[in-house]
Amino acid sequence: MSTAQNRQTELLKLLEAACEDRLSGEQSVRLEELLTGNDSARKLYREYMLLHGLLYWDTAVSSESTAELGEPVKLASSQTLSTRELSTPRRLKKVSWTVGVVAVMALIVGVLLTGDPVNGPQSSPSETLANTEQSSTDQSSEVPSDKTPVASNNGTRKPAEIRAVVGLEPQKSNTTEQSDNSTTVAENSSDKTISVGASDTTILSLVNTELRSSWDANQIVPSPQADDAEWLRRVHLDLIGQIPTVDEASRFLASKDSRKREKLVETLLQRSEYITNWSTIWANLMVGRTPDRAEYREALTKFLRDSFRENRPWDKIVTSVISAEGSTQDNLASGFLLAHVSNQAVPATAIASRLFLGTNVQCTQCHDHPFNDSKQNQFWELNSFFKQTEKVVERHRDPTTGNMLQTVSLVTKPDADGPTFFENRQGRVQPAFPIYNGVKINDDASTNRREELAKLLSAGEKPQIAEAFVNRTWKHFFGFGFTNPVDDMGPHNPASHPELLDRLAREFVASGYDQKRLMKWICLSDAYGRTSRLTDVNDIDNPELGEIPLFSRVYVKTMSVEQVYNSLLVATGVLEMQNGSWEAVEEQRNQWLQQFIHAYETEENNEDTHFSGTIAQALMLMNGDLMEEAISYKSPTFFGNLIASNTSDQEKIRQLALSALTRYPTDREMTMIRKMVSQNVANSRNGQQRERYAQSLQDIFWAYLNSSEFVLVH
Amino acid sequence: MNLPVPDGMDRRHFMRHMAAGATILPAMQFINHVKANAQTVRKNQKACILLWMSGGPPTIDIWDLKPGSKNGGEFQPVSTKGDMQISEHMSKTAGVMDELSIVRSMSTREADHGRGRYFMHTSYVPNPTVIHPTFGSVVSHELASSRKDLEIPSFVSVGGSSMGPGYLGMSHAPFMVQSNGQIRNAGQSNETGRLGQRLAMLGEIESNFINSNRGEFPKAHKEVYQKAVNLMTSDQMRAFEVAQESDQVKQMYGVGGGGAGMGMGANRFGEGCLLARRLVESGVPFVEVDMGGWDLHNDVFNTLRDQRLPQLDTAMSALVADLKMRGLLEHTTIVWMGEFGRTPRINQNVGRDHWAASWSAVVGGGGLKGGQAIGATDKDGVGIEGQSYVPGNIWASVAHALGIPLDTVHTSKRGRPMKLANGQPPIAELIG
Repeated sequence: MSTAQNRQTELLKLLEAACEDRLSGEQSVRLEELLTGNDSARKLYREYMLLHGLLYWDTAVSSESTAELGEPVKLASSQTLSTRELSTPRRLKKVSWTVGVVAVMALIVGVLLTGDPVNGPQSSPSETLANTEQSSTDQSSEVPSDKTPVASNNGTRKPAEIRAVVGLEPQKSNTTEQSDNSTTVAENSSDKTISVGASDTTILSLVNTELRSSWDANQIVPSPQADDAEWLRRVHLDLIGQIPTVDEASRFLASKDSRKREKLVETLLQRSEYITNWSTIWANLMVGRTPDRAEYREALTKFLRDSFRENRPWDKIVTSVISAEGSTQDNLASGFLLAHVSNQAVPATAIASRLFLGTNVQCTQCHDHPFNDSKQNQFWELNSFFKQTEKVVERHRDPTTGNMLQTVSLVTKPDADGPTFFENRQGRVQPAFPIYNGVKINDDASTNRREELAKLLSAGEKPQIAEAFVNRTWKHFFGFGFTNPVDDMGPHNPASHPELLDRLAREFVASGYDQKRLMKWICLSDAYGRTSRLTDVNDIDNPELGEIPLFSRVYVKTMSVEQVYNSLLVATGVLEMQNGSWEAVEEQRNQWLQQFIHAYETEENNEDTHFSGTIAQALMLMNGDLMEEAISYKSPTFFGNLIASNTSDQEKIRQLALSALTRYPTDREMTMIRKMVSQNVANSRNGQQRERYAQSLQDIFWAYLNSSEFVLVH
Repeated sequence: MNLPVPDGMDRRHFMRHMAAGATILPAMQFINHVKANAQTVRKNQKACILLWMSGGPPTIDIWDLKPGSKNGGEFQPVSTKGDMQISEHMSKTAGVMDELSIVRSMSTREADHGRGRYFMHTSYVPNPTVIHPTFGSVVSHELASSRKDLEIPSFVSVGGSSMGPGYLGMSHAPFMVQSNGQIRNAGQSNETGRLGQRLAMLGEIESNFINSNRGEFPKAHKEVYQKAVNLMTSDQMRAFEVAQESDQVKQMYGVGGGGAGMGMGANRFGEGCLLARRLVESGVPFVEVDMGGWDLHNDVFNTLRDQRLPQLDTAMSALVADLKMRGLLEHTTIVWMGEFGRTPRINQNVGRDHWAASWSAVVGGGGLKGGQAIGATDKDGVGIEGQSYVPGNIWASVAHALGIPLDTVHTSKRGRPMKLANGQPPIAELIG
């Protein structure tokens, strides 16, 4: 037996004696000796004492409190703790601590406590950046917040326009020039004839003017501007799919730069997480997350990553996936159709139509609808473009390993011509020729139908793919689209702001389908800069209740499962230390996500994510491995580093709130937390204070990360 | 930190710590039931089990065969203990058909999976301005409040995700579990006593955010956390431990492999049915069990004969017999259906496509009259002869069996009154 082991055995004996109140003077001197010389001995001592304390406390408390609580609930069969209590009655006896142990503890406290956790509650200073009341007042003094029907002090200047100018014209950002400039913009924007292809400033001003006039028409006043913290968190989650880090947040909140929001949007659009976020969003939509299509998803994800990295125009992306040929090795973009060409390409038709055209034509096969007849044809006419498409499986032996390999390819059949046939609702078989948007293409075998379709999809001044993309992107940021659902557009489901949608779609086309510019127009708009809080003057703007969205505030969204995952990693601090390839990161994330994905096993590849707001989500956040890691003491997590640092209590608490919620604690929270921490520390046994202190902060971090404020995008 | 403290904790421990700390009041917000002795099982508690056939089952090959028609397919009808014939590949179920009735005149217009699933679960067609609750959420909403002892969710969806709770709110959302009943993350990794403190702190943060006027989500979040905490600290979690059943019972449900067409693996649907019985026995008022693989556009007869029907037959017959044996069947309504039926006409791939115009659902137990075939299709199975039914009729009949007043009206978030089961009447033949 080694010396270390000997020492440990001895230590355990002494500790047991201490707990059972039979430590002699000599023994306590020896205990002291053992502890002062050795770190791991002190650790063991702390843990032992904590365990003892818990068991002791348990038992003592139970005997006192049973009466008040009524009869205790019957025990489950696996009650190890209670069994142990019963079998160790000695621990019921009141423990009085020996002088020796007290001395040891005093020593340990001295050795271990470097900080000063026992500060007692102090009122926190008034640097409550996140105090919404206060900062909304601040905001409104900078920016006139609400244009009420009554004339305001600001004369003719519309706040929206000022924001637009401040936001996007760097050379004119100083205040004295604002008024001139905004007048120009106001003139511009009131003139609806300005031609498509306008500057960002003009487009923003158009967006703001359109929305403002709909607020006026509905006699509502928009919610106040969001404070920096609220906007910062939201724009991070929306653009890059994760919350800001503590450093990012404190830097942004401290910045006095009047153009900081605009600059941040630019920065976020260049981040690698932007690529991951948007390629994930579209891979989920295009292929889904069920494991049996994983190969196609992986290929398509690579294609999408390349696309979003180089900001490839949206029409080019659509063209690539619609006209892709070959295996995923030949062409990454083939992943989309390979996943959906089964069953006479019915799923491919339906999904392409929903995603790229924003129309749900599939259900019209049967359901009654004023436009039904033509729509049923439309579905099969669109389907007819996939008539030549075949999924070919080739098996071959790997020459080196000898294993059988399988290659699946999209192949255009050389001899397929003529119409597709379908059964109408009267049970008659009908032909459907390849027709899109009124244009019929040659149906002979020599025409590659999908190539033709790709051309037709982006033809004209305002192709439907542009409007559908704008609508879906708008919904991504605001929580609701111009039509809801976003993939069932059409005369039966009129848009809330048809002119704005139309204009944005045209501008999007004119920009060369520039997704980043579209996102800039949205993120820097006046409406997106407002708080998600409802006020009593815009409470009719509540699409959650089925009302038409007026975008006089930003609606609260639930985080996607990826956003929760990524944000927990941000809070844990591991994202910064991760060096793995995106594939490895993605693989890990996908595995974790599978617990929330449910596939319906239908030919149409339906699947559901069973996550937001569920008990399963709550359990994951309360007890899951990701949470355990996020709040682990183990350096180098954010939490571990923070606990080990020399910063004050108050600063630690501030950092916890900032890390989880992108805001500083409210005064109430700060008071409550400090009270709780100091009580915990005061009530813990000597020698355990430091542990209790760390645990208390851990509990606070847990609570912040489990709050609805964390899991909502607001 | 790895302290050698015992894992897990029950309500008693939890409450003790709660009482000990100064944190009791805020944390109490997260505990619904402080009552002790909560695990009394009352066998007369009413319940419904929905056997959901995801993908749209070909009912023409199962419950309403058309021998002699061009649409008849490969299977022959056999007699049953009830007053009807069913598929020869449902021979075990034939033996319990005196307890079940077939509604052969279901006629709907939603033949898209998503829309059909929505319509059949909610009784309403999808509407962009309101999201309707699935009927399990309705039952949870109506019955959970009278079951204060119930600490586990009042609506459990086994092996599938059902539909959402719509305007009834997330606290009536289905709790989704796999058929083996394993629940992730329900055990606490943490030492006893700290959950109270965590919840106290959470309570403070939550009320701060709820008061910031951001709509429904924050309130719903809090309710869901209450349920999750109840679940973590409840003995009733044992209801999910389907592995505790004897081998004999498992075998009856087709769990654990063996038997014709079961393949090597377990019959997950059978396991789900067994779990449903355990949950109903513990007082859960609504359980949905998902069985997939019905979207049979190709090779319908081989797939039915070799795979789907043996599984369905074993599990469904076992469920009925087991509930009956335990005296639970008279309080437990069983509904079997999918989002639609399948085309009477057999397609070129020897499959059947989506068909909503004429198909069958099965209902029984809970005091409803069994043994009958209600309504009829024509000789080729393409149209309904006489009275036809929609999901509202099925759910109204279930509501009747569960003792939920048919004139119950819920209010959508926008304040619109929404009638139970879309205001449809129950099926007269079922309620007798």
